[in-house]
Amino acid sequence: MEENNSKKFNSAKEIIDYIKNSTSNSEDMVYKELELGKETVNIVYSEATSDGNFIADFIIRSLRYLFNENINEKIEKKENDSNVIEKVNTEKKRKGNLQEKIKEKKEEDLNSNENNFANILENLDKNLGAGKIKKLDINNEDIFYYIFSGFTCIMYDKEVFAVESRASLDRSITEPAIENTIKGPKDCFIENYSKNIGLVRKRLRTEKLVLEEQKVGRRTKTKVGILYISDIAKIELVNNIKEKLKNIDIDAILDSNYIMELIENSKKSDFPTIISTERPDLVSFYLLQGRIALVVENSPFVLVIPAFIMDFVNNAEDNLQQSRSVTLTKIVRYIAFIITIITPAFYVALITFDQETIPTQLLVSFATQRDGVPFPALVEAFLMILSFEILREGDYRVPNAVGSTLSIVGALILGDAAVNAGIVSPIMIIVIAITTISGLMFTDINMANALRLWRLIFLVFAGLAGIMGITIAAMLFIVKIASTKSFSKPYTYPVAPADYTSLIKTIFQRKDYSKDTKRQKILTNNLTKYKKV
Amino acid sequence: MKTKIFILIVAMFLFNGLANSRELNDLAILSSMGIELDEDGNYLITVQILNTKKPDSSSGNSSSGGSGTSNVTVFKSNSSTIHGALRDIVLQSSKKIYIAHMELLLVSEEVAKTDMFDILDFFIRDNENSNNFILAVTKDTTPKEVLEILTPLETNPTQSIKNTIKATYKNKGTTIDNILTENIQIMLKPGMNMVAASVGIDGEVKKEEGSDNINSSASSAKVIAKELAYFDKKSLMGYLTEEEGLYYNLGLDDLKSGMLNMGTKEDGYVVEILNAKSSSTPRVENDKYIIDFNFDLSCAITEISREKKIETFDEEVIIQKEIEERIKNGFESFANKCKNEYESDLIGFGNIYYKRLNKEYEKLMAKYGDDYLKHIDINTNVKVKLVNEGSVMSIW
Repeated sequence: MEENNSKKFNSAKEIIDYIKNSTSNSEDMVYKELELGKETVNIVYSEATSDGNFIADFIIRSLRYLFNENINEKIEKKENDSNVIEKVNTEKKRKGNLQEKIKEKKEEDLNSNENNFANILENLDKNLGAGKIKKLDINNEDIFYYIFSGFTCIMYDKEVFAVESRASLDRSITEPAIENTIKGPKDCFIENYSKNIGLVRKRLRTEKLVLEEQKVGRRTKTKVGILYISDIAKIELVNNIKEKLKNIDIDAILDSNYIMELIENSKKSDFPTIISTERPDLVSFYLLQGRIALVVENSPFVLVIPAFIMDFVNNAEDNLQQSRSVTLTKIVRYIAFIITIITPAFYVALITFDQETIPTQLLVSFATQRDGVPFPALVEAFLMILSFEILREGDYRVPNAVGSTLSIVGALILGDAAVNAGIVSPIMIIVIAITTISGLMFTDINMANALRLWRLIFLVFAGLAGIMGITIAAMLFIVKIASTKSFSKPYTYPVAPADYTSLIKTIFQRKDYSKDTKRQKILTNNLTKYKKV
Repeated sequence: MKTKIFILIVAMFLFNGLANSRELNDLAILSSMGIELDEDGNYLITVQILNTKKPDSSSGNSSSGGSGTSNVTVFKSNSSTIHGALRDIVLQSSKKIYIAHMELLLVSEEVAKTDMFDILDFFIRDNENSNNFILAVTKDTTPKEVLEILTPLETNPTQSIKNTIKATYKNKGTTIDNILTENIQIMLKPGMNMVAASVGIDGEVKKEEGSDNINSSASSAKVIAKELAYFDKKSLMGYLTEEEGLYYNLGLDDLKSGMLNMGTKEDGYVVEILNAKSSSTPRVENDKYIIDFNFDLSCAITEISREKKIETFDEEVIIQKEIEERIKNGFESFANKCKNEYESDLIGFGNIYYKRLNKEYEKLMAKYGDDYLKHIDINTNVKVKLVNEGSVMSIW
């Protein structure tokens, strides 16, 4: 495609030949010649991405009308053909605006057919009642981007006009599949770029919500929209992201995860440093905090930058529930966070190293259950974790119809049989079950994977050195998350660096909306949400 | 970073590593131990091992497991040292004895009358040991016999004995449930001597098979908590009476609850001590050492004999006085007994001086030496508050 920069096209035929050559005569390309009076206009579009009805109804018909109008004007002048007037009148009702413009034309220029023709084409964007119209500079612009984005190219001589005639290839807006809400809004992003932006725009009806676009990917030319609120977001961060997007050199962007990986700062981090969400209300909430959203074409996940670990631990739905009673939920969630990382490790450490710490009754219970199990506790734990991970992965991929069968076979029959056969102890099933269930609370898949990894690290350390091993692993864990940065923002905020007002707000209790007048300093320079009256 | 992690892992192996790793399956959890002397003068050790065998799947739900179905196994072994005897149990058992969960140590009178430090030394020194077991003396019986009795109420006989002692301490106040560390603290305190709980057997022990005891509904032999055993510096001296046990706890401000029978069966009443506070203040007057004990008790009258009448306020005051008098006399006679008969500073009169008036304590010791106890006088003030005078009407 870079060749066309050097090429000079002299006629529509040359351009069409060029298109035919470049696409190797792809079957979905449609070429049409329109006879309009004495002149011939060429139309090129891809039927896969364009709406055929739209092209027939609004582009071809309009073109015919426009040029017929020109011819008829002359006849009208001479003969006052009543039929044509009638025709014009019916058209009038349909396209009132257009008619007015044509009337202006009438007065301006009635000299020659050819002149008119060039003139009308020249001002086609004003005259045609269809969506976005762009005059292409064929020597410099990539015509294929337009064709495959669903534009119809109208060619006359050297002139090329691209008229938007996109076919709707998207599913409708559905309920979120991953981030379920109980009380919140139930719409969710889809694969359509402009609809995604619309879902945010309709929530934030302010002129300060800025959308900047960049195209990324040499072959895919994927649109990436940077959304931010200009008077809240930190402009350095916006520029930083723009710079990063500009520097991306990759052939294809198929999903927002590509962008996520390409712009992430600390690639070594196990934990996600970018939020990826499918909920527009959440994106709007983050934008108002001063964060920046990246909407990637063809991806139902919008990226939000920067992210803190608390964003993944806490659920944004807390903001929609009663502020006082949500504290308990939050505490439960922190406990689950610790449980899901540490429980298998803790159990193994207690069973193999520090039996003194278990109350006697419980120890006897453990010992009775472990009687006859042929493997050491560490191996047993690995076995169970492995089988549960297989079960989980299988459950993700399996068609829904088979899903429940799989759960029954996997969880009930397999677990029970393993215990009865004496391969694993019942307590180990309990340990792994509570671990897995606790892990389900964290919906972000990257977060879940990170937790899974650290669960194993803790387990290995516990198997080597008991409680002491867990202590060492915990130290490593803290070092890891504390040294992670998300776009030069500390990942562990608001714990470290400590921001006490924000700490209480995020960790324990949501602030009452009527009292929550300040924004977080780390995200914005514009601190005042509103002034208290 | 990688080198750091490597160093950490290596350090883990060096400092602790796998050396301490034990699979739970390989441990025989010891719940109680009895120490006595055999004919040759060696230690004879009886241990109760908690049975962690998985119950047969035929006998019920196999996955339930738990301590509900576990029982105990008793092993015996003898050697010249305690640890040696304990190790020798491996000869009989398939698993290593794991002592950190020991809950009860029974010592025969014979052994207790020798040097207690000899026995406790092992438990203090070995770092694997738990130190929160209860030390008890077997009165009129041997640890072996006690540990071979299987108890009906709890599946774990050790728990049963331990809980009996604890319940007696909490509800009757006539014994104590000190754990090893507390005992040793008391033993090491200047001017204070140790007491310990004692257990005995009530009923006839069948010689042949212990488990028969469970099967018969009215089991013939039961382990019961007996009176407090008292020690001098290091060895067993004798036993207090039940009421003296109560005053012992009262003197140490450690009485949770207790009962006193007042008067005779026909003309008496029962007092329940609900709450007791005590404080002691040592003083020296004209070279006389006097300790003031102040007791503050809340009592309730829970049972009144047919002949007895408590109707007016005056009668209530009289009763109050009676109880006060009883406790005052009881405590003072206990203190005097300690001084003259038992010759052991159980409540720690010396220790009160040692803590509060250290200089006087040194003078006391210089003056009388080990005989100091006889030169300390006790002055008791008792204040009884009747929170419930046994009125039947007021209940409804």
